[in-house]
Amino acid sequence: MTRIALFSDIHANFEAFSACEQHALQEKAELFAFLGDHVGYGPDPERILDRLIKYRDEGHIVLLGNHDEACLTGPQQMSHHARDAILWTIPRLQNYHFEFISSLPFTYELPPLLLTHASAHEPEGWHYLNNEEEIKLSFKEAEQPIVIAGHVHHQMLYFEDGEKNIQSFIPTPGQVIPLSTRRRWAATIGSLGQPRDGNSASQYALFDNEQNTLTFHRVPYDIDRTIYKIYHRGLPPTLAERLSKGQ
Amino acid sequence: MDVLEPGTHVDRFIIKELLYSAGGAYLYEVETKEITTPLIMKIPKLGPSQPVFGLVSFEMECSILPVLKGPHVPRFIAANPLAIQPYVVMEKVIGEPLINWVKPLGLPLTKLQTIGTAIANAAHSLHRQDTIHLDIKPDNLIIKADNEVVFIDFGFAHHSLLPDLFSDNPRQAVGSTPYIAPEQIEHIRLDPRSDQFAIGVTLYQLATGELPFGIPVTLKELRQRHWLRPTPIRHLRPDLPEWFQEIVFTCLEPLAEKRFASTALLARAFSDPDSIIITERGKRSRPDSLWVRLIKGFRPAIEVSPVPQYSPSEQVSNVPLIAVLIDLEEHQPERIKALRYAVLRAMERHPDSHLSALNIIEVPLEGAQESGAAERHHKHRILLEHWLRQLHIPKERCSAHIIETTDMAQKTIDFAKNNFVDVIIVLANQESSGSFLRVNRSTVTRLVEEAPCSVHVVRPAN
Repeated sequence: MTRIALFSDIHANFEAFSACEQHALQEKAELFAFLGDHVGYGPDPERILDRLIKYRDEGHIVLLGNHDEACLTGPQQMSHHARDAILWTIPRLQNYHFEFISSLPFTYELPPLLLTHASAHEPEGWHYLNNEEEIKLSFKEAEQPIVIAGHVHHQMLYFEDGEKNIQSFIPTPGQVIPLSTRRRWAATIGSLGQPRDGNSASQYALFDNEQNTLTFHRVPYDIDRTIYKIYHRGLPPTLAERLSKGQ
Repeated sequence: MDVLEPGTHVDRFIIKELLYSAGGAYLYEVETKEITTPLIMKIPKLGPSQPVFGLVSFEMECSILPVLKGPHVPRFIAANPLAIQPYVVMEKVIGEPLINWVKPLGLPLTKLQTIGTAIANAAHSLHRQDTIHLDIKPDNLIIKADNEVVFIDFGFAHHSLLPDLFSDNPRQAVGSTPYIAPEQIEHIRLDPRSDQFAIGVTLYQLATGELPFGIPVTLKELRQRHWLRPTPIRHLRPDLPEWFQEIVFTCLEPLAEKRFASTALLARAFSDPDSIIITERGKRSRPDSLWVRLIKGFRPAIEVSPVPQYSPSEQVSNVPLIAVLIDLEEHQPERIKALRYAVLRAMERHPDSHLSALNIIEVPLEGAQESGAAERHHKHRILLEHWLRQLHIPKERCSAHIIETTDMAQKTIDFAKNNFVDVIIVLANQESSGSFLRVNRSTVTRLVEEAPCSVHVVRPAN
């Protein structure tokens, strides 16, 4: 196995999922890792979960995210848009969907990677991996040199310099980046279904396990179709507006 | 770590001999079944006694070398930075290290001009690939038989699309102290003009046999280049012209914005010294007195240019070299006007751009001594310079070139390639054109298809 497609924060966006899946297969991805938040915000939670169950049964990796967990425990401590979307999602799911979600792990070790939805430090606490303190805590917790996470809906690469300080780097889509395992790295790979950097194109990343390289990608998809579904299936219209603006 | 014996296998490579052992790495000549050309393997020295810098610069080289292309970098073959014995393999560049050319009495002007042009062109090729070498010095340059320069050792380089492992190193300036630019000392690694400063130091050394700022050891000594003016080259080499000193001292300006806007413009200056305006920099012939140095050094001004906001390739593309093909036989006012407007619009968009006006004369046989050829050349030059003057572009931003050839398109393509031209502006052919000298349809078609840059074909609106 050489190439791993790293998908996170699909948020029930089937059009974004299909476009990224096709892109990753063209890039010769052989293994898929879904890093959580498969549902919430978007209009296709059943369809996405059905696809992920199939992927999991074929040996691919599927992790738990906080929006998935909220389908089991209820949307406590969520913003009102997120809460409304979860309350809209729950009645649409079948028992086997809930069973699938409750079986998902928080993290997965795939040397040299540690895959997680949020910080590797207290993954069940859903801490955002976007600041020096949290990245250092993640490095302390993770036994693998490279931590790959989602949750923050931005693509960013962090690394430890010679002074053990954390440096950040904004990746350019399509640029192959070698990650030497002689130092610690953390990457947030962005969101397939709801990017929040002002660009609505889907975000995902591809890790080459043989060359130890990471490539961030941006993939355009049929966003109008997703927006149409959000309006017509009774989700809050604000979610459609955010999607089109990449917020 | 022990030196590897000849015959030792490292993955698919076999060690032939140790070529070099210094600094933080061993260099071996190696061979492998699949590749017949000579190869070099670099193996970093590991261990507690080795500086951390060595391994970090090895990581940088393993990241950057695979993404670089072109004749000015060694071809990347393989790397295994994670092995117990990490290595990188690249083609062995056949040529002479520039350090062999450093002589106590300096090199003759023609050699300096050739080398200066070659290094500047090579640096521009790197900058266009979003890479800044940041360690240019005679040890890291190899001159090939065709006078092309190849850079080696990308351990301190910066590539704007890859994480910079030296990005925040407040304790130590990264680079070779006699050569690094003032802004590098202040930890700025994003300015391609830093390479120009190192080229200036290198050329000063090749011209005089001396280093303009010596070999500093302390940070205080290192920072002297912010305010210390080096001994004028012409004080040490009175035989060298003012334009050469003007070029080198422009490269050595402490503030990056006072250097050439790109190394392509530096190369152009070497290839057309007549266009250089000589300032006090070029005329200086005596070193600053001890008194002046004491005053300047008492409260030294440490001023640094702002950190560039754009990648190296974006920065150099803002300084385009524009070539315009001019047919002096063209008399239709609307066509002349359309061409002038196109040139002026291109120049206005980029305040640091440079215009090369080319008048290409087709001759039946290249190099033949025709009667009246010199007179024709002179007449064309006067007309071409008049054409340029009408644009009101400052003299230092434009140059006129008369080229006689049997193949107009090929000569223009060669000019564009050799001078890193970014855009060629040419008038579209006219249906009724019958003039022998006119740029004909096949020339325009060939330029569009084969030029190594954009081609702007101008056609006046009806």
